[in-house]
Amino acid sequence: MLDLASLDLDAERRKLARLLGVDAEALHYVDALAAADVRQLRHTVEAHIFDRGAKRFRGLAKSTKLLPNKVNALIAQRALGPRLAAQVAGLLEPKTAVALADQVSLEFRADLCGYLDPRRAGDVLRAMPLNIVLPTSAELVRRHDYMTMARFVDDLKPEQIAAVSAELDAVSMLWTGFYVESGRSLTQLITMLSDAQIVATMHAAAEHTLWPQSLALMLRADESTTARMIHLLAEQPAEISASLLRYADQVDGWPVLAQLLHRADPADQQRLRAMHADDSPEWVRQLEQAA
Amino acid sequence: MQPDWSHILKHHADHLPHLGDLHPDHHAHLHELVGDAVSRELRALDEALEAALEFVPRMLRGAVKKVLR
Repeated sequence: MLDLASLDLDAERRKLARLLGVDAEALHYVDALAAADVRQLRHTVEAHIFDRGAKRFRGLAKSTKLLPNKVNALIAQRALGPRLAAQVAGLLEPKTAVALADQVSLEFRADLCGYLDPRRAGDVLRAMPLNIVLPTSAELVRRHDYMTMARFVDDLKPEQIAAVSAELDAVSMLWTGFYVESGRSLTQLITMLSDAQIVATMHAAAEHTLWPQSLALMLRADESTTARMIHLLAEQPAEISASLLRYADQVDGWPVLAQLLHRADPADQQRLRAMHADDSPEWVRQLEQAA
Repeated sequence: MQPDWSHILKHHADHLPHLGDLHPDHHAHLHELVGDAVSRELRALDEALEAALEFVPRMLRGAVKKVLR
């Protein structure tokens, strides 16, 4: 049965698989754990890797004060590589980090972001100007690296997130939102989207079978944000909500849909029911039963 | 027997969540994967550090040579 826990677990399994360098399917058995436990395991492994080298990372961060930024950037790209540079980046003074980020190539910045732990680099990330943030996020999107994009949603400033989200296409928005860890950050992200952008995610979900991602966004956002999304869904042509209902039917997602509808304005609930009452009475019955 | 995580994660093993709900074979598989990933990451970081230590003097020597020519 589809529910929020299974959607969260799916996202966490994929993140852990990436850290361990395996396919997500290889970790099918983590279904026996809670999503929070899988997340905790990943954080523990990351913390251990950082701690093992922390002394050397701090030494490298200090050494950047000895050389001009151009030379530091050259060393970072030619010698440290993105993995080591990412560990050091969070320990730099934000001003130094911005100067260095400006000197390295876009590809290197995007590579580095893949290894950067935003929990240790929050100050540095928030100091990055938009002329660095926007091209880097565009490069991450080009690579379909949505996990990395999502990791930054929790730590960037609202104006940085707003600027990035304005540039995101609907599919990228769905995948990025799917991987965002904090429900509060996700709500903040969706709040920044225009109605047209939210509607575009629904059309993309129907076209590319991304309803799990779309449902994860609706379920994890706060109640008023979910109500706004369902209001927009009710305004769309019937084939969009029909696509969602068809998906719910396939994965036994009726309780999830009932839960979402419960947050919606009664007029929108009624509108959606009426839209499908003639063509698909069985779906409407299932939905009412689940409610 | 439960795998010993402290070999891989040292004191961080104390922060691991409860993994006892996993089937013993799956627990062992996860333990092996984490061990491999940690070794791989630490080795890659060591190699990057070595490369950096070799690169800096080489770069400085090159820069000085250029000035002296």
